[in-house]
Amino acid sequence: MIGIIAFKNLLHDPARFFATAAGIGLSFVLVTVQLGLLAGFDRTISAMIDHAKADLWIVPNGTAAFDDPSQLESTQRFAAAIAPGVKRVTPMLVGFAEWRRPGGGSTTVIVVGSDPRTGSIEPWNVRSGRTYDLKAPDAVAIDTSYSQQLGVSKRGDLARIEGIPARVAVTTNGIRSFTTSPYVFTSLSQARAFLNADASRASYLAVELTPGADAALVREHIASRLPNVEVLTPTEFRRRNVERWLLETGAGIALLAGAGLAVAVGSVIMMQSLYTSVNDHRKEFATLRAMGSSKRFLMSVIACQAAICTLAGCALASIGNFGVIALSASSSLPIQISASLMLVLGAVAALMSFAAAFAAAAKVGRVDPAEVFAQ
Amino acid sequence: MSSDPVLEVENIEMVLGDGARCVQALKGVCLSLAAGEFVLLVGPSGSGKSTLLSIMGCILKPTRGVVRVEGRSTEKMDKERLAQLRRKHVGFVFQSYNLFPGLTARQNVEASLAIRGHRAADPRETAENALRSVGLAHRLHSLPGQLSGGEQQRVAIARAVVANPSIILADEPTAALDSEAGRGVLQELRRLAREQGRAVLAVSHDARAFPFADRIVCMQDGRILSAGTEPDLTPALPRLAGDNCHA
Repeated sequence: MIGIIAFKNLLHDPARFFATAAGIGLSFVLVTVQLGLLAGFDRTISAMIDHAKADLWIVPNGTAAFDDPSQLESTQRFAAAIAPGVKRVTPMLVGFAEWRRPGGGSTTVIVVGSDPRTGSIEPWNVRSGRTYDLKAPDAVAIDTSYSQQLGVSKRGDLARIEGIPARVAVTTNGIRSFTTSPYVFTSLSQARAFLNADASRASYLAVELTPGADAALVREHIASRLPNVEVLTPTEFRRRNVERWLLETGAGIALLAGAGLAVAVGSVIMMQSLYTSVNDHRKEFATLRAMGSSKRFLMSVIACQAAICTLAGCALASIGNFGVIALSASSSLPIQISASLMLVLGAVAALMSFAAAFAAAAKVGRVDPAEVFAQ
Repeated sequence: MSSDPVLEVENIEMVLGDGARCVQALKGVCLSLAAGEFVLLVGPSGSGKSTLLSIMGCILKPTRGVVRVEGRSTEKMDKERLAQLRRKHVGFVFQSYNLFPGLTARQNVEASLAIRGHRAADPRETAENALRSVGLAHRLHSLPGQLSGGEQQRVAIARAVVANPSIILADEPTAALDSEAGRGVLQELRRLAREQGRAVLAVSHDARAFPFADRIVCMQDGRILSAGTEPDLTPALPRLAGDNCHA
């Protein structure tokens, strides 16, 4: 009966109920977009680290992010390779370079070079060609979502990187960069040519461990033998990457602030709506109180109204979210909705519902049953 | 009619407001209500009728005096205990019906059962039976907005009695009704007293109600001036009931 009273109270004025649900729904869409963007940023920023075959990363001292490297002596890999528990150490070269489009004009790309035989980092989501094709001279892999920016779209297309010919041998789809510069995969030797790097230089050393090796011990062992480097676990490197782009650049803080604001706006809309609804039905609540209704019963009606508003808002929001996600899928920053994000949104919804119910319940608590005799 | 008092008030005083705006609404009122009795409370506006009804319904606490419901004093009860007492013993009928506009007649009555935590085997059937007993079998699924004033007041009566309270308090139950509908409501209230043994107290300005009452209590300036049956009070009733009294 509590549910029926709450539902009928709200549905008695369908226009107002719809306005409430729409307000809450819009707030949820806003929260979802902000948090989804944050999740999308997180995934994009860490994509390289997540896809690399590395149990440990040897990086130059003070490296802030994968995309913003300095260089180390690649010969240090030999010192690292003799540490007990190390299976393989592979150099990787990463750097910005100028990509000259075949039709004229140029753009900046991030060249990622590694040995295709070890596959320490290789392109994924391959649409045409094989990663093995990157062994060929001049061969590069590009992502088709950047075709327009790069001026190439298919295997065999030719461009130039820092004046050196680059031939598309592999195409992928969905490898995006957090910066505006697309990733271009190539072999280590070709990367050195593009980036004019000495054969003894590398950006990172990817360390693979033998099965059962203790990563902490190996890390300690390597760190004690190599000067001017840091040895990071993938988790640490990932966190450093995320902190660099999301916190130090302020992009993440802006998103988090936006999400917080959306939650606040949604809560206020909901509180306002429920508060107004309680005011509109003051006579009925006073009647219930006069008839002997317990405060608990009244609070249950209010809580139920809050829950109905939240559910209706969520239902509308899910339609909106579906559209937003579909629209963003082909953008450079797709909105990611994961199970954990859904849990967060559920918690946010419950919190907003609770806050709104609490505010409205305080109002109902002050309703004087004697009002029923004063009309 | 039983003579046992189901509801009684003794030496009730009620002061409303404070400071210079302080008004003594009730001045030493004593009144008791027995099971099976239909009592009418009359008097001019501002005489303290509604305040007394609120106190007898355990909605307001008096400044001084004692209220006893089924022999239990309410003096030391807090708001929740008073609400509990109302749930168990009191059914209300209001001047403007106070039905939930979004609920059907049956749901309005069912809501009363839910509020009271009444454990009817089948709340829906219990509510329907209550509506049938007030002649609304054909209006079970109508919304209040689809009912006439008389029908709405009958729904309110069904809502008041569905959980079987021993006391029914009605505030101007016929004020918004035409004479035929008003008569129907008064007959219904009298039936609740006579056939079901409930104690019924109704505040009214309506002279048409006088013949239905077992006892008429007249109030003025916060005091009970007189009490008796209609024939006893007939010569003085129009004056005692106040200027708004309409025959």
